Amino acid sequence: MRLLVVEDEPELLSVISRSFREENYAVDEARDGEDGLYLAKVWEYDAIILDVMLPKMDGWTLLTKLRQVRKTPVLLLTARDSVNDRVRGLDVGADDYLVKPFALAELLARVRALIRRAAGQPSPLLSFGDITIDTGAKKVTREMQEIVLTAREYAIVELLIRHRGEVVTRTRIYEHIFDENDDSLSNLVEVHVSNVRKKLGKDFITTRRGMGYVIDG
Amino acid sequence: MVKSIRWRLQLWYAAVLTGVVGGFAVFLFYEVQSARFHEVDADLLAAANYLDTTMRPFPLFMLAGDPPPPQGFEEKDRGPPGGKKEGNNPGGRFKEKEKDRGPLGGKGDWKPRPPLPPLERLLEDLSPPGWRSDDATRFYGVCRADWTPLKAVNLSLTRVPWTSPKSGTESLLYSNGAYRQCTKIGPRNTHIIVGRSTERLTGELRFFAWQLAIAGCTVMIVGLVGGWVISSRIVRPIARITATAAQISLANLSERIEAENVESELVELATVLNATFDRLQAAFAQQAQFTADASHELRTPLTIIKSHAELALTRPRDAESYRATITACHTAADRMTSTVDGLLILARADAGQLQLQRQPVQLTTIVEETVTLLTPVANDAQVSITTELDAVTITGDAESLARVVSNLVTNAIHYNRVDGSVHVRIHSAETAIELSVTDTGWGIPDADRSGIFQRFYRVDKARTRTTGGTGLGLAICRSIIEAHGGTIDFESHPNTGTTFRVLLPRA
Repeated sequence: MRLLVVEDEPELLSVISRSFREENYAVDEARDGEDGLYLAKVWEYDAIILDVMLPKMDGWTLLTKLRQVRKTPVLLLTARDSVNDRVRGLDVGADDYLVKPFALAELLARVRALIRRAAGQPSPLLSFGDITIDTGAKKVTREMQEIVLTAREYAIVELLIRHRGEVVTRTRIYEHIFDENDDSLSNLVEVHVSNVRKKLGKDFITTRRGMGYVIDG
Repeated sequence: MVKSIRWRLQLWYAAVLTGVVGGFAVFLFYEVQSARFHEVDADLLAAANYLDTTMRPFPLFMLAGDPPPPQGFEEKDRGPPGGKKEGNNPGGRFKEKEKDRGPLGGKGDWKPRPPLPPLERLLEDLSPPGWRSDDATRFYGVCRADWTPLKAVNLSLTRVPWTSPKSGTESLLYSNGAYRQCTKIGPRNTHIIVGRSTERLTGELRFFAWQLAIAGCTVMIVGLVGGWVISSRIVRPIARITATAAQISLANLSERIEAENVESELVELATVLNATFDRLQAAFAQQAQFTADASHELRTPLTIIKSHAELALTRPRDAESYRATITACHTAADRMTSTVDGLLILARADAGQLQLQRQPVQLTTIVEETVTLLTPVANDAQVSITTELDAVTITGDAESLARVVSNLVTNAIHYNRVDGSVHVRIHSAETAIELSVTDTGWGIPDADRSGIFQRFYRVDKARTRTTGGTGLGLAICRSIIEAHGGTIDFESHPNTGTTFRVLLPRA
């Protein structure tokens, strides 16, 4: 899962990014509104965490402009807690709203919920045949037995399960599991897919040659 | 009720109306009454005079029991009202008697005066013209000086005491019970008495009084109802203004009184109220902005502390990681402290409780110390500081003034260009002491000039974040300078620099 955090407070930006990275998200950072809007338009993020009071362009403006081109889930982060501010934020297109100071655990949970809802899967438990994926605990089980996946492998499985029946291109997988700072080679995606197949069965992921991968529903 | 304008108007109106109507009615009544009594009195006087005049030609009156008049006296003692001519005899009623006496009186050429009719006869016939003896409402009579009656018509002489006119006056008019009467001294000290019952007249006057009272009450009621209607018309726009003003609440500050639809006397009130609401709304908006800014400034470092701590606690980490977390928390706490300190100073200044120790301070020394303290910061920012200081002493609080100088110089360093300079100058003028801090930065944009002294106002948010200011510095400067009785303003030229100028009163 790849996230964008737009926050002008350097310390806060770093601590939020670190928390998400520790949860195996790929995280991009932006320090002002213009940067944030650029990144949000260019990349297909799974969710955006957006501060409202930003230099150059405030969060509301950013969101309004972003909504013209993308429907990426956005969580607004702000110190303004009046009803008017919250209503305004939600009305310009935010999907959720969190007031500072917040608990990190809550931020992480809300982002997970956002991603679930955006994929049209309100339950944190996804199942495919005898394989169950708990997106909250980030665990994969088969017949009550946990199958240990690496963070990258898990990310690929979760992405494909969320888009079950759709062909997901290699580029998209790459974009979802690595952030801007990762300097990996593209064929690493294939390595991770091959490892998943070893653990979950050869037919779990189907390859559509020249197009990408798919988990058939 | 007494406090209500409407009731007060009504009460005043009622009082004035009562005074006018009542006064008019009383005046009218007494005028009519006195006119009617004048009529009665004139009638009585005319009757009394008539009786007097009629009796006057009879000398000695020849009253029963009086001694007979001496011979020849008759000629001399004719009555004063010109009895010398026969024609003066009232009426022609003696003619007949003249004829009767014809054979007795005829002696040669001398034609004797016809003898007067007997007094009894006169008295018997005597009655004022128009007065009838069977008219019970009138009475008249003639008495001797001792009030023994000679003639009495309807006159009960038990109606004593009679009152004689005072000496020197001819007649006396007075009321006695239900009668109005007149006594007059007639010939030979007789008393002539005439009188009329005033019963009918008083009845009429009473009826007239009732009419007046009813008319007065009608006028009062109509007037008071009219007054009530008028006063409610007067009060109605006030009620409308009140209703509008009552609708204005925290949630609905944008409501205004429609000054166009209000009576001209109330336009001023409406305008003043609207202006007050404008100020109130602006104040609330400013307050809301301030609260939002303050909560942002306080919540951001709080969020940093909380997030760092939470992240550190999620799993065991190495010492270096914990150290980094604690350092970040410490920095954030420092930032919160300076924001809280700034807010506290401003809150005290707002409440007029800025505790200033007013004592003579060397402003020059304060500036020198501050510049020395900030030189390393300036060096880091590659900015040079120059000074031009007159030695001055002012009365004030050294710590607060040092904070002002420090804020201004820090701003000048941070909002400067690389290799720029900061010039601090103290100029001792005749009336005031001028402290100016000039930088060589990019100046303050026109759009931001009015807001520069507002709390948490930021010309460039991005840069302020990196320089770590609280956004309260200039607001604090202004509060402190104003508490010292001074002023602070600035002059700014784009891309050339800004000069902040503080004027402090001389010690």
